[in-house]
Amino acid sequence: MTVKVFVKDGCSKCPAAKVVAGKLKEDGIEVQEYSMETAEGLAESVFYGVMATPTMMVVNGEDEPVSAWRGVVPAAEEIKKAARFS
Amino acid sequence: MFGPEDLILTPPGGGQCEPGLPVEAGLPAEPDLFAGETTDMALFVRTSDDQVVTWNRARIVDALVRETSIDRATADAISLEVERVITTARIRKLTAALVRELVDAKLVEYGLESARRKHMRLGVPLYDVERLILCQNKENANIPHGPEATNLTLAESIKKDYALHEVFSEDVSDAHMRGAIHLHDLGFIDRPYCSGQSLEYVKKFGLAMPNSLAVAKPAKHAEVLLAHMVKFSAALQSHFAGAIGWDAVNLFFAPYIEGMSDAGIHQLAQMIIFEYSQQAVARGGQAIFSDINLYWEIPRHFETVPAIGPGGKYTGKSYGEYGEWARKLVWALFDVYMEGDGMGRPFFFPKPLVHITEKFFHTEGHRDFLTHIARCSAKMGNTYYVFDRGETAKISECCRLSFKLEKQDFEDAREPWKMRYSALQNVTINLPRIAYEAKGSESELFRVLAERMDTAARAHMQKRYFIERLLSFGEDGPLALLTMDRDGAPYLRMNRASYLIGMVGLNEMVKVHTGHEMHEGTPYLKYGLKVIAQMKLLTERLAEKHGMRFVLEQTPAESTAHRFAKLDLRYHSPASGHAVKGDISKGTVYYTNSTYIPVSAPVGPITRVRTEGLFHPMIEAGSLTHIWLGEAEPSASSVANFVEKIFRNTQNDQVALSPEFTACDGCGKTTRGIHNACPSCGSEEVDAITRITGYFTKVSSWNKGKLGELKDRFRNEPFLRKEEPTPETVLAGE
Repeated sequence: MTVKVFVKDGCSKCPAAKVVAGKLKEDGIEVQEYSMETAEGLAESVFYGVMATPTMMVVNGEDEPVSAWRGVVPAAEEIKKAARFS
Repeated sequence: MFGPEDLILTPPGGGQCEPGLPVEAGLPAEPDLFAGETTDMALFVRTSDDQVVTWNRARIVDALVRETSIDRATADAISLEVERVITTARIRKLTAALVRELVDAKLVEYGLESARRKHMRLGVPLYDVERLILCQNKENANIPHGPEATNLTLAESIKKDYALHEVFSEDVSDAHMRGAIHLHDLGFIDRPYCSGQSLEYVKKFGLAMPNSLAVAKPAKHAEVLLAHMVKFSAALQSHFAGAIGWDAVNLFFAPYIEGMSDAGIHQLAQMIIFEYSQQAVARGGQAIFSDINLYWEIPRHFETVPAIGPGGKYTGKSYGEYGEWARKLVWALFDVYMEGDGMGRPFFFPKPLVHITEKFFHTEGHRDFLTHIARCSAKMGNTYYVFDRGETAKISECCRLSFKLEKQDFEDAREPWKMRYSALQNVTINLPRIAYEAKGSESELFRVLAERMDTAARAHMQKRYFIERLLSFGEDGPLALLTMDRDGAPYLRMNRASYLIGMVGLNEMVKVHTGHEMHEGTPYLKYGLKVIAQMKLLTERLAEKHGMRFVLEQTPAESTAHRFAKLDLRYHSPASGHAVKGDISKGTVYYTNSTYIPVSAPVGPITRVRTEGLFHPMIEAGSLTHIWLGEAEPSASSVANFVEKIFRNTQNDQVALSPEFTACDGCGKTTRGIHNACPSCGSEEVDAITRITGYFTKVSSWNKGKLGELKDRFRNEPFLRKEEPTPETVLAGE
């Protein structure tokens, strides 16, 4: 399982999403952060149909989304629970 | 003089119209029309204005000084040398063209390259003219073969030369000539690319165009409104290179058909379609590349807009009150599309673009209508499904171009005649070329991509400058129609113009760079997405930097996909030999269009629609996915179900289903599938018909690259069974 975090400059809730991403990393969870201002970030967001920032998404080993939070920032525990990390 | 036997014309090459054949083969010996008629050749010159004038060396001097600004002494020296050559060579037929060529050769000898460029003559070699007159031009399948088409092609070839020498800078022209980029419609350099508008302009102002022989007041009857619309389309066609699109046609006709019988509405629908499909007497004998945007619902932005009716007067109602009549007309239009023409063939134009929105699914009768247009899709292939999700609204046209409406546009919608949009030019980037040049280095690949985008932006600025120059002459100038001001703004609203940047061969670029095609695995698909994402970001930066509306478009690339592949085989062999599609030995080579996965990829329609649709949100100016049906004819409910799923579950922008047909000139029957002989009567006098990049046409008019593509197309037969489907069987097409 990997957590993908999609953020954008000037998005009001994105700093909070980055804080949550930091906590998950501290707990040893693989987190990939993507900025919508980069080609890689934009491509990844299009691939997963991300229409809002921040979006936090748990994907499995097959690159398939398991859970997603779009335009909202969940607690780190919620993400861990959804991804069965805890 | 010519005898009767000389009138039997044979194309150069003994009757074949393929390039590269020797000139002499098959040509009768040229009779000398002037044998014995001229006493002293050196003394007379045949000029370009059909006169024979006495030789006068001073004319060379005058022309050089006037056209190139070189000093008179140099011009005099050159003229003397040219005169000596003419005298020494005892040239028998001296023409102004030959004199100019001799002068140009001297300018080269003198190292005066810049002067030579200014002095050069634009024209077409005799050999090419004969080929053009005798053989069909296959660069655009919408150009028939005839004297009008020849005029068009000849004019285009001169204007193309002019554009490459005078409109574009040398680096931009060279990039085009080398095939790094493609500047579309160079032969129409003095026109914008395409135009999208509302019928309200014609309803409100009638036909009062600059230089019109007669002015018509606003139409009072539906048939007259149609006549105005068609005439205005023809006038626009002669001022734009590409498509002419009309917004919400069924809705804007509605106030004119209120109270009309069903038979009357059917008759009008028939007239609309036949008028556009038979308009083959205008520019170059071409039918107008026309698109009609259609709605089942009343688009939200027109609901409360006061309706204009007969005589250009307000009816006192809003368009929201005309739903019943707008729906009757759009239903009737699809009845006619379904019947086909007099031989049962699909209509090529006007292309019906049906907008599928959230409101569509909340409008009464939508399920029946969706099944109706789906039946037309399956049977004739005409329907284009344009998906407007969320708050998106757009006007679509051309092969897939669309203009997304913005805040200002929704305000303009209160006065819909103001809704006039144009793309000024289309420049396409050869993506595989970049991969060859990058030699596996990603940083180099993105560096060259940025460089090419920059070149495309420069090309757009140069075209804009040229068009603005033409527009500056106002209603006395060459683009008078586009400067006419009936509502406080010129017809062509330059401040709303967009500049298209397209791409060809993303799939082959990914293949060259990663070793795999996009449909072969997620990493390769994601690499393709990354390239287009980078193009989108670069486009936005260029737009901000230059204050111009640059947008990405999926280039239709009817001939460009073939041209790029041919040039890359020349300049980047052997690498290109492993990447181009088609048969190299037969020359039917091509690159996959725009961001498509290969036409030969054995994937079901849902995967194709979903995968190709991933790119669509990044391509603001329009995208389209083709589903090649082949001979199969799926059931209407299967297609309707499929369309709703596309709207709900994918990001795809537009979809069209393309069947194939064989029309027999012998017995007049049209049958499903492409056959070498008529299945009904056995005649070999048949025309294969199917969709090329974005419109139906006869396969016999296709270029070699597209013929190669046609052969490779994967027809989605499993999906296209005739049985009544369930969502599961639709999905079983995977």
